[in-house]
Amino acid sequence: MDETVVEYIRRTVLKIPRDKIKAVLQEWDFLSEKQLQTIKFNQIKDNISYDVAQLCEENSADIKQAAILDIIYNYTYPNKRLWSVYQMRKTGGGTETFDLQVLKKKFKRQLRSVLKNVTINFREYEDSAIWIRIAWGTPYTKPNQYKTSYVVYHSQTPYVFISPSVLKSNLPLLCQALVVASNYHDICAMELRSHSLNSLKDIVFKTYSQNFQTYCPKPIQERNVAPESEDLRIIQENRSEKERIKRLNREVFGDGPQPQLEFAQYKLETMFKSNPKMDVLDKEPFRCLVKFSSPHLLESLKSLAPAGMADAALSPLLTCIPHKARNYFKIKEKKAFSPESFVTR
Amino acid sequence: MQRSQTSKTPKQPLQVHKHQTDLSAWQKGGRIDPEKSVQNHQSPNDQKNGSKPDSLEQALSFFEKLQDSVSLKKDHALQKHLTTVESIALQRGLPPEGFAILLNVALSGKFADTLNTHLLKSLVPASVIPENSVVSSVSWLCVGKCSGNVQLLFLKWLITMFDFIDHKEQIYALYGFFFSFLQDEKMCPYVCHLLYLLTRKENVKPFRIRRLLDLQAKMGMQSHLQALLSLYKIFCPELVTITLPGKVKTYFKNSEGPWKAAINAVRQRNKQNSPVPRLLFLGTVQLRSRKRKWNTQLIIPANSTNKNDLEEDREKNHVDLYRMNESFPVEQLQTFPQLLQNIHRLEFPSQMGSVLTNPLLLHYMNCIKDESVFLRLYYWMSQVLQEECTWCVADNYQHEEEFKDFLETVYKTECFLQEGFSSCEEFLYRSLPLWDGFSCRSQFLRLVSWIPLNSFSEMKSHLYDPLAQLFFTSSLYFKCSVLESLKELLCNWLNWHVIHLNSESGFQVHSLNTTLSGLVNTVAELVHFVGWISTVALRLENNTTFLLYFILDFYETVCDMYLGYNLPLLIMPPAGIFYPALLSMDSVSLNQLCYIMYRYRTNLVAAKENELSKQKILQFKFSRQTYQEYNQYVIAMVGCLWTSSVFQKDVHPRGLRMDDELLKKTAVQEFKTSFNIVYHPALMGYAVHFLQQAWPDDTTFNFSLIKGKKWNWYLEYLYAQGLKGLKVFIESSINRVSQASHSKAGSVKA
Amino acid sequence: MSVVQPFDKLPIPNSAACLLVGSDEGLQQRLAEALLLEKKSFKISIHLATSLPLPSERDHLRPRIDLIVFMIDIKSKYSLENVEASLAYVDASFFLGKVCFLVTGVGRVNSCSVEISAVWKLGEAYCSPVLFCELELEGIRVATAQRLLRMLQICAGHITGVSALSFGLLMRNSDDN
Repeated sequence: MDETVVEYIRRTVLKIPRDKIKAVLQEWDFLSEKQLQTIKFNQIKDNISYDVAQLCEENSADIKQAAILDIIYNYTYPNKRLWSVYQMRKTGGGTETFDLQVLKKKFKRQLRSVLKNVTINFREYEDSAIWIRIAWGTPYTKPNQYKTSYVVYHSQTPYVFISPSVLKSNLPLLCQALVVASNYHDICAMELRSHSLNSLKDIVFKTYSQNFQTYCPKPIQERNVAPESEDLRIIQENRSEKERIKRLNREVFGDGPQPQLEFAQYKLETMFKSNPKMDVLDKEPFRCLVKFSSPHLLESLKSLAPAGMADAALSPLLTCIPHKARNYFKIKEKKAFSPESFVTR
Repeated sequence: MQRSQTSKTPKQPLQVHKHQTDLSAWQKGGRIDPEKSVQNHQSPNDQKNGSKPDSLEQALSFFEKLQDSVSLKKDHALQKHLTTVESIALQRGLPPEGFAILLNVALSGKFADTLNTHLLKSLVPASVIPENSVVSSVSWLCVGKCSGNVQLLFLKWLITMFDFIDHKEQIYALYGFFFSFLQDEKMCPYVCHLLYLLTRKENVKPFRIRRLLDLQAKMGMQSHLQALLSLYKIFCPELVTITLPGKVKTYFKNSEGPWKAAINAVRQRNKQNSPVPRLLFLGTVQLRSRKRKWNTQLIIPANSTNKNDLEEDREKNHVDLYRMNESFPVEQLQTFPQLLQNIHRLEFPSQMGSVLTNPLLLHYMNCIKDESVFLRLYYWMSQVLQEECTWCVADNYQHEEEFKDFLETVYKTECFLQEGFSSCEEFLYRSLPLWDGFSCRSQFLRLVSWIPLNSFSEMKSHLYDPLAQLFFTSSLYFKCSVLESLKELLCNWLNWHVIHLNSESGFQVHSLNTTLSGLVNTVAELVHFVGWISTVALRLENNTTFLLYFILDFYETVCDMYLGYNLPLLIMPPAGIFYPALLSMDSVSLNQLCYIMYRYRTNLVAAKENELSKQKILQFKFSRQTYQEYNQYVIAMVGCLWTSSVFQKDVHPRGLRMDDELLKKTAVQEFKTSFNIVYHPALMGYAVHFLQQAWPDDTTFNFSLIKGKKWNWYLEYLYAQGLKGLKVFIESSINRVSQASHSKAGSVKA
Repeated sequence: MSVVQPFDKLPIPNSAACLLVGSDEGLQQRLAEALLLEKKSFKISIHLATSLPLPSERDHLRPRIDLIVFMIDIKSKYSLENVEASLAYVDASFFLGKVCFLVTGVGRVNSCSVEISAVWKLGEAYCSPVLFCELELEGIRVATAQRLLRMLQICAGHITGVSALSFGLLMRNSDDN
């Protein structure tokens, strides 16, 4: 019986909001209904966690069970992690049938061939998503269950959502294993990151509402449309101008709610151009970093012009985020932003 | 360092040792023993604490025995104990005996900095911090084994926790050591802050001043050096001869960052559990938010909150504690007799804000007249008030309520001390131009009444201009409140003047270098300002009686400044106030005006007499103009109330004088008699009642019946109705030759 | 492009018109509603514009404007620039007491991006008072609406003996004497 496993379970329980602990444990399905009934869920979380730990010890929980609980937790609260989107590519066109078991096997084999001390766990969900949890060790130490990487892979799509571990050195390994396991040839970061996994999915699967699309996942809400009072004593002088702004805004952002991103980052690199007589070193570019952050960046951008905080028709640099599917940009001379074709980091 | 060995052997043996001296014992216990822990949880009386105390003891004894270099990453036991210490410290603070051990580990320099900072950051006291532990850590600091960052963090910790240290005599003795740390450029700001807290008069030495000046020459004008120098200057003005800027916005960087939340949490918790009388907190609301530093700092630092600990402590150290030069802990000060008994050995808490809510300390502060105390209070208060626009924070409604409470407390303190705080004044000057006239309204206006006397140029642009803008655009009630608080302001100034006249012997609480003429000018400007805004306000508000009441109320103070407050200044109200009051439809205003004019007369007559008798060579004389103005007004009043000659005799440029031709055109038949105590619109109601009582059968309302003897009866009737102002005015200003209506205006000769 | 004129039309008896110019329409709308809610003895019409000049096709529909309130948000430099640009389309005689600058955002000075001194200077340059407030907070919004209504009443000539010009002089910081 490994006491670290129990402690790990206990700490995972501590992370769950108290009123949700029961539901998560039920989904976990490791403790019996009878055992669950012995736990008092109205005491302080600390005590609940000890109770759960004790029951797990009775059931001799192993690391696999603990990992599943962690996956459930992360699946339920995906916003606790930062997710990046990766795209995989094929050179040949051959379509193969997708086999989950093959993928699992290949993935495990690929990783284990390089690093022996890893914990790998899978869990499938109805939306054809496969959640992979990897805890990393080193050749000489056991896997660190507290610094895990997460991969969410949707079969039939080339997109992978990775929430990397703090142990960054393992990322290339992970990417390689993914490419091999899913029969692709290449993987690259899309420079799109957010805490909201669902929004990332919306962006890359293009399921969020945009004007040029017919598909709209959520009904268009009548929001901010008619706050104008009917009172005849208030007269809007710039009605036509306002309508123009509304139209422009709609063209850019569409009607529906925007996917949730927390930031957009622009790196500007420009060379210093000067009179050649002035002996100024111009080898090194000027670097400038602009970061926009907001709890809900795209909604904020969308409301800028209607709120009168910016001129209508925002810069395309800001509005291109959803359809370029990236929120990290590098702006170089001639404003050419070419997506890097290899994994950075 | 002579005391460095104490760190190795703490004076009081740890309780831990009694239970478990053997290392293996705790190791066994360290494993999760499910049965035991569950039992612990389920025991009903110990739900809250769980198995934590044991684990803390284990952790402490682990740290005590910790030898050299262990890696935080690798050593699981270390990791576990560190987490225990951290979580317990942040939840409810550490017991006194833990500090020596943990400080010893953190500052020895044997271990990695991550461990050291973790430990330092979790050093939150549950009750007190033993002085020994601090002394021994200073010895580690002198050895210089730990890294710069750890040193800095330790200093910040010491500053933040200063008030939690149980006694400070030995720490005071280390003054020189701390002073020597000033050389270090990084530590300098924090060392200055610490020295600022430690400095006593005997610490101020010429060589130290020289050192500080050298530093200042080297590093430029740094606010922390200035703070220390200004404190030195207060203690020994003869030694510090350089001039220092009077008002600095912030002296020290805030150093309580890492511990703030934890201290508040612990304080909150201890407050709930402790049996200490709530009296200590004196009704200030305890707040949860981390951001709001006001009210939380009003509480005397919490080493008092755990009474049991203190008492225990006292028993242990009773020999030391009752030494004569030992200071009496302020947090134990609860009754007035206690204050009297211990007044010679009181020391202010370094958190000066707590003084505000403690009347006993305020009494003490009032009687010791120590500049440095005021300076510290000033420093604290300006720091609290420095954030801009604290009165209104868009996304925090509660904030305003709390800020109101704080301002209220400040105001009450000002009333108690009968003195305005200059930090508060600065706050007002900074805020009024941006103020909306709504948030914290009554608090702002009340604080205005405690603005200290100043030269006018400052007052004008900082106070009068913004106030006038708000005044003109705001509601009637706002106008009245402004007038009310300006009246309070005037009274406070006048009282201040009177007190200083009486005690000319020269105690100077204020560094205010006002001469009498300066004072007279400032007061005159205030009165003129009120006259001006009142005139405009009457026009804007259509001469409302309500407003007029507040205006005349202000002038009730103005008219008595010479006799009442011994200030050689009398200013008549402007015509824009006088005439609306004289012609008011309301007897209250008229009565008030009569009383005011009577007081003006009394004052002017007294001034004249003084001038004539020349007993005293007067520095100031009232100008002819004042007398002239008074005379003009009195003529108008007598014409309006008595002789029915207001249209002929009122020679004031804005007066009521009209040509007969013009008056005839009005088609009023007896225009000549249309203004006197019978016909005046404010008094006609009385006349009607009088007629009804005197001639119950007559329904024609023949006002002309009131004459001769009846006129006198009518006067008596008016007096009986409570028009005392009218009474004193008529009795003083109207010379009634006989009972006939021949009378003469009793004007004062210029 | 038309310049707003203070005296180009006849006044309508017992009514007053106020023009709010500011880029933040949400706050503008809320302020307008607050102005309507206040009890008053005259008819009011409130015109909202994001910027000046006003579209000339509506000129004939507009009554005489008695007071122009330029709204500046302390958090947005854009709002200040917008106001500065709009000022060019106001007839000079408006600045004889019929213009005021309303600065909102005092409750969020931490995210301040407009220098307060710049606003003071603007007020001085255009001889018009500057009022500070936080329109996001309801209490202050109501108080501010009351203040604006008082000014509007004076500017529309509803208070005997006080003209817009004399009131404007009172509101100016009298540093000259």
